[in-house]
Parts: sequence; C-alpha cells; structure tokens
Amino acid sequence: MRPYDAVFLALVASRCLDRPKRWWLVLLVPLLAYGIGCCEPPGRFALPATALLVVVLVPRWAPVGLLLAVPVYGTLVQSLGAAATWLGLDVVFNSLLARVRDDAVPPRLRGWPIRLLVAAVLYYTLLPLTWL
Amino acid sequence: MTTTAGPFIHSGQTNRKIMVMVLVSLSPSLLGAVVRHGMGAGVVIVSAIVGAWVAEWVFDRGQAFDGSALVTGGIFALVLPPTAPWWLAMLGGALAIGLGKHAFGGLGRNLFNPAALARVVLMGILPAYFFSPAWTIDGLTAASPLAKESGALGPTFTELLSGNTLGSLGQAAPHAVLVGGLLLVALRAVDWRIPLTYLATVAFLALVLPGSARIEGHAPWLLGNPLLHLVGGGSLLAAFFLLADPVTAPFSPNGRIAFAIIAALYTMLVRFYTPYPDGAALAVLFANATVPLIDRTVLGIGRTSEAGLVEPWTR
Repeated sequence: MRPYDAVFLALVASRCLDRPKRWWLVLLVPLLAYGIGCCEPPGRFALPATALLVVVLVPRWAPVGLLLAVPVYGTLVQSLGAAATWLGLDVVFNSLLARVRDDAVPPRLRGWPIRLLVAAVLYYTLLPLTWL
Repeated sequence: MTTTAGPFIHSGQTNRKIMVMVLVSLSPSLLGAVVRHGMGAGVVIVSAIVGAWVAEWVFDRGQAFDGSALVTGGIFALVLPPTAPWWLAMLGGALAIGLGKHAFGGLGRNLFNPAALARVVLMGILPAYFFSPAWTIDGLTAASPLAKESGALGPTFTELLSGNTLGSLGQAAPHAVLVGGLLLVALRAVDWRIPLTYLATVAFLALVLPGSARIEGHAPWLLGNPLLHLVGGGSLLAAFFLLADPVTAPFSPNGRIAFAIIAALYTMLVRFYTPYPDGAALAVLFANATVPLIDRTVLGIGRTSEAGLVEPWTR
C-alpha cells in the first residue's frame, strides 16, 4: 500500500472513533515506522514492534495509527510527507464536513455516504501530488 | 460572525436572472466549440445539457426551470473533448447535478463545482475513456498543447489564439471564453478578483517556476511561456466559469484572492511537475476544498463557539 492510500484510509478510519486528547501523537507513526524499518528488516520483528509501539502511543486511535504504519516508507522525507499530508487533510476534511448541512442532504446520503463522497473527491483531487 | 438586523434591500437578483446572465456569457464558448469542431461538438453539448436537466427534473422539479441545470450542463460539456461519446456527456451532466449538487442539498449548498466534480468522478469510474492513448490523462482537457510528449511540437502563437490546438471544447475558442468571461464580470455575476488573480498568478508562475525533468527535453516550450499557460489549457474556462462560481468561492474579497492563488499554484504544480498535461479542473476542486478553511481564517465563521455551537454557514 502506498503512503498516499494509507493516509486516506487512516483519515476515514479516524472518523469512526472518538478523537483522543493527544490525537496529534498519531503524526509520529510514519516516522516511527520509518525508523524501525531502517533498523530492522520488515520480516522479523519490525512489524510487531511497530504495531506494539503504535498501540502504546495512541491507544484510542490505534486503528488509525496502524493504518499509517502499514506502508513501507522509503525515505525520511516520505514519512514526514505522510504525516504532513494527514495533518493537512484532517484539517481540510473537518472544515468541509462542518459546512455540510445534514438536514439539507438527502436522507439516504446523510452521515457516512456523504463523508465518503467528500473523501473520495479529495483522494482523486490530490492524486497528482503523488508524482511530486 | 457579525450579523446585522434588517431591514435589508433586495438586490433585484434572482437565481433565474443570474443563470440567464451566465448562459448568455457561456454561449460564445459553446458556439465557438461547434464552429471549430462541427456537429460532433454540438451533440456533446446537447447531451450534457439534456443529462443535467433530466437529473434536475428527477431530483427537484421546482428548480428544473431556473436555468441552473442548463448552465451546469453547458460548462460540463466545455471540459469534455469533442470526441467524447454522447452518452458519456449525458452521464456526466447527470452526475454533475445529482452528485455535485443535490447530494449536498441542492442549489447553493454544494461544496465543489459540479462540472469539475463530474469530470473527476468520470475519470475515476470510467478510466478507459480518460486514460487511453488517444485521450491523454488530464484534469480538464484531452491531449492539449500542455502535453509533455517527447517529440511533440509546441503550438504557434496563431494556433494558440485561434484555438487551433487539440484539447477540450472549452479550448476551441479562447477569445470566445474571454469575451464571455468579461461579460460575466461586467454584469457583476462573478467577482473580478478571482479570474484576475488566478490568471495573473498562472502567468507569473509560468515565468518563474523552474523546469522539471518532465518538461526539459520533452516540452521545453512550456517554460517561460505565460501565454501558453493562459490560453493553451483550461485556465480561461477555470478562471471565469469554474472558480468564479459564487457558491463554491469564499465569502470575503481577501479570501477570494487567496482562493485564486491556491488554485493557480495547484494548476502550475500539476503542469510543471506531474505527467498530467493540465490540472485546472483538479485545481478547482482543490481550491473548493480549502474554502471553508479560508472563510474560517479570514472571517472566523464556522468556528466552534465557547458554548460548543458551530457558527452556522449561510449564503
């Protein structure tokens, strides 16, 4: 899985769970995954060690953190980019959802469908940036 | 958010009046596309408009005669290549209205420009029509003068201004898009700050941005050529008809300037540093996505108050 895809999955997953007080710790996960990947080959203890650290770091947002830990980050810049992208998208996504008036949205699209639609639009809109 | 008490003076504008103004401004571009590409373009335009109108009639019969579906269908047709099949144009028109407008609550409540959204959705669900060799990967156009193809030749000045280049229907007659756009500004149907800032920023970035390996050796004419970036891609159409849509633009003048700069930056990033020939439609969606954030930063609306209530969005 590409870091870009992981960031979007994590973004959607974060809406399934209550936001913890120290939610920003999830931004450290890509760096953590990169750091552990540098020290240890992925086949041995790297994945369980990363998973364990993620659960300890952000217990209430562990699924979000685990999704961000799944991709193999090739460089430090890539891991920093994933964290920055997640943060930026989180802010933009929140502000967009705040503008959606649930009472105006057709009943069948209220809640998750409209959120997924907004996330999908953002996904395709930002896709060209993966070439940078 | 500061609100004032009445009485208020009605500006005299109605949805129907505004839509008529936009349709009149759009007609030179539609006519130019038919003159340039023949009846095939006419079929695409009519199909897109019919698709949009039928969707409007299905979702909200009360709005079916206010002209907004005709405007959306017409604008959507202009982001399609002249070779697009009629059913794709019709499907896109219907998606623009159904998904781009009514999914968010109808007229005035959409977060994204419906025409740009329909284009991007179609790229996602029917990639074969958008990623085939004859129809280059793109955010707004077909194989355009902005394509970074090795061995291709850059368009001449005359070709650019006459629209004698490959691309979408909206690129067939740049002067017609410009005339229609200026008419929109003169009629005050759109805020002049958005097109002016967007086009000026695109031109400025075309001059100052350093080239990438994707351009140097492949399409060197893209470097330091503001005219090509203003006329050759979807910039004019995006500036006047997509970005300037008052529903999906920020409330404040300063916010609108920031919004146009963001769109121009994204357009030029895509053109210079990705394989996509043009990114104007994607830039429109990206800029639309930043609107609530811009409004919150500039005007403070949409923030959560001390009582835990979110300030309402009003248009």
